[in-house]
Amino acid sequence: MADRNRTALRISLVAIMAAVVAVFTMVIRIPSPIGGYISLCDAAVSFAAYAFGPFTGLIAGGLGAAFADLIGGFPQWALISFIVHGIEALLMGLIVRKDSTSIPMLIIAALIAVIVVSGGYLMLTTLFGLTVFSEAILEVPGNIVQSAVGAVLGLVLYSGVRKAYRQLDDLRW
Amino acid sequence: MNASSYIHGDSFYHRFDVRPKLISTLLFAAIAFAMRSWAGLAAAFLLPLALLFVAVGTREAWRCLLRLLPLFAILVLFTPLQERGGTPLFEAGGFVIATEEGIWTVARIISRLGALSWALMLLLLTARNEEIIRGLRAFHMPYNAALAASMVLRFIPHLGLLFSEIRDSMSLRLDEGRRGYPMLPSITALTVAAIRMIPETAAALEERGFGRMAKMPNEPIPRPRGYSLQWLLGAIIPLSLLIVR
Repeated sequence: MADRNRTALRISLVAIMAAVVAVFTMVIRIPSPIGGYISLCDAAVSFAAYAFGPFTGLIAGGLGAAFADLIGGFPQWALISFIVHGIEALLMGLIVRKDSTSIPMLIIAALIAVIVVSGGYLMLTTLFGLTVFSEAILEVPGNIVQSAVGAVLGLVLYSGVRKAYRQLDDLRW
Repeated sequence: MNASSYIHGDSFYHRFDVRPKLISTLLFAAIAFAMRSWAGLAAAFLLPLALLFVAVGTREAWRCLLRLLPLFAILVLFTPLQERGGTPLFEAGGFVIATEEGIWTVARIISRLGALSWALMLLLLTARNEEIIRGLRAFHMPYNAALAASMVLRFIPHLGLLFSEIRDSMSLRLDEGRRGYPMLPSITALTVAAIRMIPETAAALEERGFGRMAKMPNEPIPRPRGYSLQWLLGAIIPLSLLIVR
């Protein structure tokens, strides 16, 4: 019974966190030159990774970002968003897995987020033939800002939420 | 906040069952990447766009088109200038403005991007979210994945509404004359409210019998009239693009 309860809890956790990521993505949107946008997505993705670990982060981050693209009228980027933000959360979660208060680890996690998001969009949009390298590179500064701000904001959010909701760590798996 | 892009309508594509629609979307997306001729690129771009106009009407289809026009404009303006290797087409004072290869690259990207966008919009604007999930279940999407996806779609508008309420109440705390809302407290409050819902939602799932059955049965979707014809058309329309490949 405990396992079954755990499955229901995991599904609820992933679904609600994915919805949080999608809402964060859709709440603030600044259009970018190649038809994408800059959003608060990475703050929610980083929060999911810090608070719930790599696997919840992977599914919730990827799914939430992809749903936001599908619903928000940018369906062509959904698959790329799923891969990029999923991997971003997975790596951040793995880095801060043992100690989510270690400053060097948090800095490394933030750097990884910046590399994965800016490099991931640059590489995948070019690889999938949805733009050319010279246009995709125009997105890089925006993505660097978005992911760096997101990683810091996600950490602030994590410490704020942890204070407000003490049982947060019980939901981790 | 609306979690559905569905537009109510009575077009032939609205009446299609979601399963042939899913296959059709997949075929359009795949074939867009297989085009090797100018005619093929044009057809891959125009056919799903024409279907979109027929299915959801001029206004909605135009809105979808407008969303991508700035991107197309940037691609047309800058890509040929950056891809200048090959046979020159336009020159000004010895400076190559565009080559055949540059024009081909930009046409290929616009065709793929357009075809992918129109095909996905065609699905999302003519099928409800729950229909799409039921369709995916019919193609053996795991029950837990389908459940999580449908829960995400239910929670997005709920959390969106909650965020508007939090934002409005937070804006009242600002000094008189100041506009906007404090972003960090607002998103923190939203996240706390969302996380508080997790144990309650899990309990609600348990109460509804989640986990009592070893394997959840696949709920059969009734076959509408002309189901076989829909499958045929759903496959033939995108596959017809291969004629002009």
